[in-house]
Amino acid sequence: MNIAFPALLVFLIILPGFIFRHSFKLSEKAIIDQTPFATAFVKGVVLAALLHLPWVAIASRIGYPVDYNALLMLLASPQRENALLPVINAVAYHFNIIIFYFVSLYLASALLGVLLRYLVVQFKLDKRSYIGPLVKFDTPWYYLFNGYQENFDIDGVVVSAIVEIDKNPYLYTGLLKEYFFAPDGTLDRLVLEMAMRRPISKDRNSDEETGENPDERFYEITGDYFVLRYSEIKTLNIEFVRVELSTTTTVLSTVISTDETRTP
Amino acid sequence: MKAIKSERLKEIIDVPENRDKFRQFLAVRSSVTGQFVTSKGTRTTVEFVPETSKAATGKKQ
Repeated sequence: MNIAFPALLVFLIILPGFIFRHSFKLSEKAIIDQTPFATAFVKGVVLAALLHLPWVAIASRIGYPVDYNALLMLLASPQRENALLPVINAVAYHFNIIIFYFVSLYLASALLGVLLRYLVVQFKLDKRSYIGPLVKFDTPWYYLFNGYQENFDIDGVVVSAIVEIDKNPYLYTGLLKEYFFAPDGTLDRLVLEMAMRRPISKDRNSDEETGENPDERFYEITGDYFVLRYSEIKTLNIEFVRVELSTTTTVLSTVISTDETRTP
Repeated sequence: MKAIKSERLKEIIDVPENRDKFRQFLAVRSSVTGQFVTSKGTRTTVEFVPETSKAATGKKQ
């Protein structure tokens, strides 16, 4: 038997674990998965074992129990071909069933991954103390901009960023509309609505000295959307906006703020 | 990825006339009150207030 066959067989057996992980996982990285190989492999194997369990039980129930002797024989791939002949004949005889077993398991793994991801997002399972660490996605920026740590519903996100122009720091602020990632998962750019800016020199202290109206320190940036490149941002401040509606009054309030400071 | 923007907030800030007031709120991060017509056509009094004064006004920008 070809020496590559046992490796192929192992691959087919553990593949459901990787399919499940791939369909469940959300990541901000498009091309680079920095999970250590050993960790990813162990997770894949454990998940594959768990996914095989119900399929093995169903196969036994409908009269096609898994022949572990034959499986081990195929994995060990002995040099004596005579020993393998009955196994190969049995595989050939039940080929359709075996194909159905693997294809259905692969499809179920993918669907289960998508379903679990939906449940995590829909019911915020990643916020639960027990199950959270197990199902939390590799999306740090998503969690930061969605107020993952906060215990209230958020209606909007206001960001303020310091950007240096000709060695003069400016404060940009606006309502966050969208954000984009570079392929390696780092933040690439932020799109702001109603953006404004002011020199950082017009800070509160100087304002108090001049008696200038605080909102006059900013000037509006004409345009519908303003794009801030993350690589040009020195520091980034995030504030969550919450809207409280009542019959007579709508109250819009900022509640908690989170600071994320970068070193250039 | 789209950032959070609730329908309630959209109703207020999608109306061009309301934007100046919201900008004022962005600039001062303290109480700003005004009469607004939402995008659904309902007139309402909107008060922009920092709920936790420590967090919002304590670091006025």
